[in-house]
Amino acid sequence: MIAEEDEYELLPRQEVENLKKDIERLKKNPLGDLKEGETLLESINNLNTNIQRLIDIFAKAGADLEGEYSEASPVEDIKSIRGQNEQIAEGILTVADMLKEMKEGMSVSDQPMPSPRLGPRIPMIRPSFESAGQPSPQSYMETPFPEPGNLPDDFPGAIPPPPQPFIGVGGEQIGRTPFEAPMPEKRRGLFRK
Amino acid sequence: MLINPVKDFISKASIHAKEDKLKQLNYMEAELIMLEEDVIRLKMNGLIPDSMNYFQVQINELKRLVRKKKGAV
Repeated sequence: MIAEEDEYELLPRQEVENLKKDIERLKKNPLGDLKEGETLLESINNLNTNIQRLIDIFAKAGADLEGEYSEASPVEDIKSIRGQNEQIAEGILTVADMLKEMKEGMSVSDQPMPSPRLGPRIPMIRPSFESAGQPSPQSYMETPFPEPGNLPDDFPGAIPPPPQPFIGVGGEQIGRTPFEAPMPEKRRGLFRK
Repeated sequence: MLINPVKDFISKASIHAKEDKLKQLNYMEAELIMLEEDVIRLKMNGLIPDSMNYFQVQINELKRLVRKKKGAV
């Protein structure tokens, strides 16, 4: 009943055959025979491969992380961090104490120095030289100093001679005496002698 | 040491990506060596004239590129 009511038209057989062939061809090659279609298909395949590789990489990274985190214990880490923080706090307190002591010492040194304590007085007794038959200090002052030539060799007050420069093997003088002023270095140029 | 999962994940992923890249480059290098051997065999059989160095030059260029990429990784 329904089929009889639908509208339909007759198609030539050749046209129906052509339509069937087109459907088959599209089923076999959905993107057509164009070059763009081939490259598109290739690009999609490459994209699939790359996405698969990326997923593999992420899966490996996730597995590695899981292994590492299962081995590590965060409680121990936190304990060690707490210990380190305690050490740091103690160090800061020690430094603060030291600074405080230094400030106190500086404030004490800024105050005026007290007068030195007077020790027990020792009575000064002038010796009487004349009575003992010895020359007085004035006579010592009046006597002239002895000539240097008359002094013995082992006289302790003799001034030692200045250090002599070391003479090398070839007779060359090595080094300078400390009393010689440093001579400016001679410039050596291409045209200077 | 505090954990940083995102940073750890990215660093691990980069390490694996580098390994994967190196593997791929090694595979390409091996394929180029095989191609070079094929070219030599064809030359010995007389299918490619001895004076024709086009394939050899191309293969050498590709090998150089692969080596450069490996150095960059």
